[in-house]
Parts: sequence; structure tokens; C-alpha cells
Amino acid sequence: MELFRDLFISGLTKGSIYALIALGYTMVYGIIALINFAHGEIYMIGAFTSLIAAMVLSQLGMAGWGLLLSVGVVAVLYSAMYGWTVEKIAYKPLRDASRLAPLISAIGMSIFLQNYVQLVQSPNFLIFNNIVPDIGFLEPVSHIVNKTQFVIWVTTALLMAALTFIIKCTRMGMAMRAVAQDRDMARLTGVNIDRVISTTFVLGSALAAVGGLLIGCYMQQVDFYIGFLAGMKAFTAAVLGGIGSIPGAVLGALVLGFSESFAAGYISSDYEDVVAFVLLIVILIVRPGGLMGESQTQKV
Amino acid sequence: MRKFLAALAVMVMALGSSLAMAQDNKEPLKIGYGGALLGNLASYGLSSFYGLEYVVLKANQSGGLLGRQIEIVREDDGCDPAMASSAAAKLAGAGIKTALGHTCSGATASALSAYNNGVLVISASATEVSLTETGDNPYFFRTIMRDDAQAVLQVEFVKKRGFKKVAILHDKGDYGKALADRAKAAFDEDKESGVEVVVFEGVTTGQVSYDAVVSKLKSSGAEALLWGGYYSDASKLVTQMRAKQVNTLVVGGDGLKNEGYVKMAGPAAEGTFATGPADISTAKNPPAAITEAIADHEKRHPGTEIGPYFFYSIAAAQALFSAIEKAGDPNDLEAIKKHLQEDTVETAMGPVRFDAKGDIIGSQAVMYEIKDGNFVEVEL
Repeated sequence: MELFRDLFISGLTKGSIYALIALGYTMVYGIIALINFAHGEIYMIGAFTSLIAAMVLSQLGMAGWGLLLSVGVVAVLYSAMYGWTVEKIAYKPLRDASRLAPLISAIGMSIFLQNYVQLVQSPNFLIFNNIVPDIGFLEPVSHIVNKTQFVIWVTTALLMAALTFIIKCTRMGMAMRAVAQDRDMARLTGVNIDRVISTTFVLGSALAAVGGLLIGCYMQQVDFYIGFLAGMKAFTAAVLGGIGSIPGAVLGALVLGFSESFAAGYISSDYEDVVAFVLLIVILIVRPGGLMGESQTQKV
Repeated sequence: MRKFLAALAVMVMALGSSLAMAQDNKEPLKIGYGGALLGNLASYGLSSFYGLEYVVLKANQSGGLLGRQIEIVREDDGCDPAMASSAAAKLAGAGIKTALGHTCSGATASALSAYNNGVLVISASATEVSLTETGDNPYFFRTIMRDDAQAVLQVEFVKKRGFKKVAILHDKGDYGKALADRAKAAFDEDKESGVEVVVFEGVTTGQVSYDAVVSKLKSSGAEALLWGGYYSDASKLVTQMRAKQVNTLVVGGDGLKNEGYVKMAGPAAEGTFATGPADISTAKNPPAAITEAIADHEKRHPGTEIGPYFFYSIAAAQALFSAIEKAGDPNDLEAIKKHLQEDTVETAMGPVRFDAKGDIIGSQAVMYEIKDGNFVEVEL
């Protein structure tokens, strides 16, 4: 039972991080039907920015929750800028090209960002000091749930709620849904397509940056390559949940996190990825659109 | 007259070509170096490189080798098998016949198949057993101990402490998995000791978190964890273990014995054990050659560590140069090999000779414990 509890907690933590990244994939896909492979790199840039911001701000004497929050704000702004720029440079000029062109451009962008960070920052693992302050009521159970895990869950839940609110209840959210349904029709009714797409990239990047900050605090080290595997897993989660669907991405991420965790715990960590991907294949055979994906009827 | 002119022309040409040949002899003798010079494991590769560089500078000051100056041609392999293969191809393409390298076992294996027995290679750090054991690499030598020596020491250590349950984890890489396999085989063979391997698994490197395997470790009740792999993953694993208050004793190999491990894992690294090659620089009475090499390194590369393989690399280079000198021809690999195996060479780390497989005779593994951020040699 104790093992089950621990594995559940670890699965939930992994799933939360995957969810933060997977949302960026699924939102972008929903709106312009593009798989943004550079998204994992934005998460990595979020982690690096947090590292630098944490160093500078703690030098300036900040500490505690204020520090965590300000580091988060810096990381979000900086990564959102990256997301925005990547869209303008790599995808906007190709918006009307064949579907393969932006895909290749996305992979190129991903390789570029990885190497760029490797060159200007460091090819080595860097130490990331955990800046999550101690939480009093968690102290007695810190060997079961540590403070960072707790912060990861709470933050993820809050951000999901905020995102749902933005999409369901704001004008921009409505415009996003409109663009997702029919881009040309939305344009005819006066929706500013470019702004909607930019906003989507900015939102997705912001979430990934928070993921980068939290995983930095959790693992306590970062390097330029962390975006690759995390990005792949998050992309898988998005597909698992039904790419294009926001609750689907969260569900897919949790399913992936739990299945990896339980597979590692009950079978063997040799088979962690095998089990996760077998699950993906089975789900896609049974439900080709993913867990919460809508069956797509092709417009003629 | 015409005959005389023709003879003169021939003589001039012959003279010209013999001049050219003499010129050729004065060209520097190229020695290759392949290893990790960039990336995570660069500290290992640089450690060997500094050793080679030191010996070459020394040799060049005293007239070079076979009357020629020595030039190092170096290629980075990042400890990556794919990169190692192309680095080896580049070295071989540059006309290299003898080289030092490579750093990591996996990369060395792939470089050796790219050299295709056309280059004689001595490694100061590749410990994986099969590199010499299989006999596929007749021109490969090493000055470092083999992993079986490390595994034996780790197993002895666990038994001495009276542990009954052991977990073994590895990083699925060439070096890590082989080390883990050896330790497991040693426990399985020795049923009488009563030590049981309760977990034996490979973990995917670069994971988002190692929580699940840590939970498993905890519930398995293992008293000791043997880690087969490098320090970057170990530091994450150990940090997460200690955060979860899993206080299993951790024992690693020379892949863990790195300053980077102590830096990254911080307080969690305290009390971790690691086997590795004997640290020659901290011997109680270091011979003059050692203190001189250290002083020279500090002068030329201030602020850098000599690293764990510095003296193993110096010994490798000294043995290689001595064998080339005796063979008389830097391209006659068979003769160089013969001298490496038959003659004992006095090096910075003592007398060095290689056995028929290419392993150094008499090199041992030592157990270290991390105390206050330093690797301290301990008795079993």
C-alpha cells in the first residue's frame, strides 16, 4: 500500500509537469494544426531563465514566496517572448505552405534553440537551487510529499483553472475557439487571426516556462537537453488525450505520468517507456482521436 | 657529354629526392587523442588530455621522438558512440597511427571498430571488460584497471558490511550496464554469503523524475544501492533518494568518482562510496616526477583540476613513446605492440607493462568515501 501511495504521488507529479507542457502542444495544434516541436525547447529556456533570474534576484536580497513568484514572472515573460518570436520567424511565413513545411521548420527551430543554449550558456549540467520555501504543515509528511511536489500540484491545478477561464469566458478565448473551428470564417467575422495565433503561442510558452521553473526546483539541475525528452513525452500525452483538446491534454498527461510511474514501480524501470507507449498504441487503436478527441469529419 | 649530363641530372634528382626524404623525417610525428573534450564528461577527457600534453611537451623539450617533434592531433567525441566513430575516422584519415583514447567505454568500443585495427590506441580511462577480453582489438591497451576489479571490490564491500539486500541500478549504457551485470553475477554466484539482489533495473537517463524507482527502492528494503553509470544521473537519483528520506547506502564506480558529483548532489553526496583507480597524486610520499607534473599542470592550466586519469594518461603516453622509440618506426604497430607487452617501462605511476590482452599488469581499484565534499580513500 505504501508503494502504491508513493507511486501515485510520483505519477501525479510527473503528470502535472507533462500537462503544463502538453497544453502548449495541444493549443497550437487546435488553432493552426501544427505540431510545434520547438515547444520542449521553450520549457528548457524557461528552466534556464528561472535559474538566472533566481541567482540575480536572490543576490538582490529577495527570498521566500516573493522570490519564487518573481522568478516565475520573469521566466514566463521571457519564454513567452521566445514563443512569440518563434511563431513570427518560423511559422508565420509558412502559414499557407504545405503542412510539412512548418513541421520541418519546427524541428529546425528546436535544434537551433538547443544548440543556441548550449553555446551561450553551458554544455554541462548546471546546479539549480530549489527556491520553493519551506511549507510548515508539510514538514511532518515531507518524506511522502515534499514541498516542491505540493507546489507543482497546486500551481498546475490553478493554471488549468485559469486557462479554462480564459478560453471559456473571455473575448480572446472566444476568438481562439472561433479560429480553431474555422479560420477563414473567423477572419470574415472580424477576428484578428494573427493576434489570436500569437496569443496562443504566448499562453502555451508561459505554461511551459512554469513547468521549466518547477522541474528545475524539483530535480535541482538543468542542462540544454532537458527539453527533448520532456517535449516528446508531453507531445505523446497530448496525442493520448486527443490533440487539440485542452482537457484531453491534461487527462493524457496524467494517464502517461501514472502509467510510467506504476510501470517503473511494479514491473521494472527498464519497461517504463515501453508500457507508456504500448498504452498509447492501444488507446489510439480503440479511439483513434485520443481519449477526448472529437472524431474529425474532413471538410470537403 | 650527353651521357654525362643525363647522369648529372639523375644525380641531382636523386639528391633532390633524398633531400625531400630528409625533410619528411623532420616533419612532426603525429599522435592522436580522442576523447570527451566538451560536454558533461569533459572533465574526464580533459584529465587524460592534460596528461598526454604534459608528456609531449617534456619529450619535445628533450629532442622529441625518433628525432622528430611530436604533434598532438585531437578530436572531441563527447563520450558519444556516434561522435566517437567519426572522430576515429578523422584521426585515421589524418594519418594517425598511434593514439591515446578514448574516454568512455561505449565511445571507445565504437572508435575501435572505426579504427579497424589500423591504429594502436591506449586508453587511460575506458574500463569496460570486453574491450580487451574478447581479443577483437589486438592494438588496444589500457593503463586503467578493468570493471571486474571494481565490481569485485563493490561486492566485497557489501559483504563486509553484512548487508543482506542489495539493489543494483544502471543507466543502460555500455559502461554502466556491464559494471552492474558483473556485480549481479558476483552476488548470484556466491549464494553462501546470503546477499540477495532485490532490484536490478536500468533507468532511462534524462528523465523528468526518478521518483518511481526511488519509491521502489524504498519498498524493496535494500540496504545498499550499487550504481552502474555516470555521475550526472547519480546526482539526481541520490538527491531524490535523500529528499524522500531513503537512506540506502550508495556505492558507485569510477563514473561516480568525479568532483561534479559532489558539486551537484551537495549534502546528499555525503557518505556515498565510489570505487575508482588509485589516486596517485595523493599518495603519502609522491615521487618527484608526480609533484613536478602537478606543479607543471598548475602553471600551464591554472584553475583546472588534473582529474582522475591524469597520471594514467601520463603512464600511457610514456609507455607508448618508449615503445615507439624501441620499435624505431612509428608506423610498425606490430613492433610497438611487442615492446609494450615485453618491456617494463618506468613511468610516473611506477613500472608499467601490458599483458597479452592489452591490460596493464597489477593495477587495482580502490574504495573512496565522500567526506566533507572530498573523496577519501577508505579500507573495506
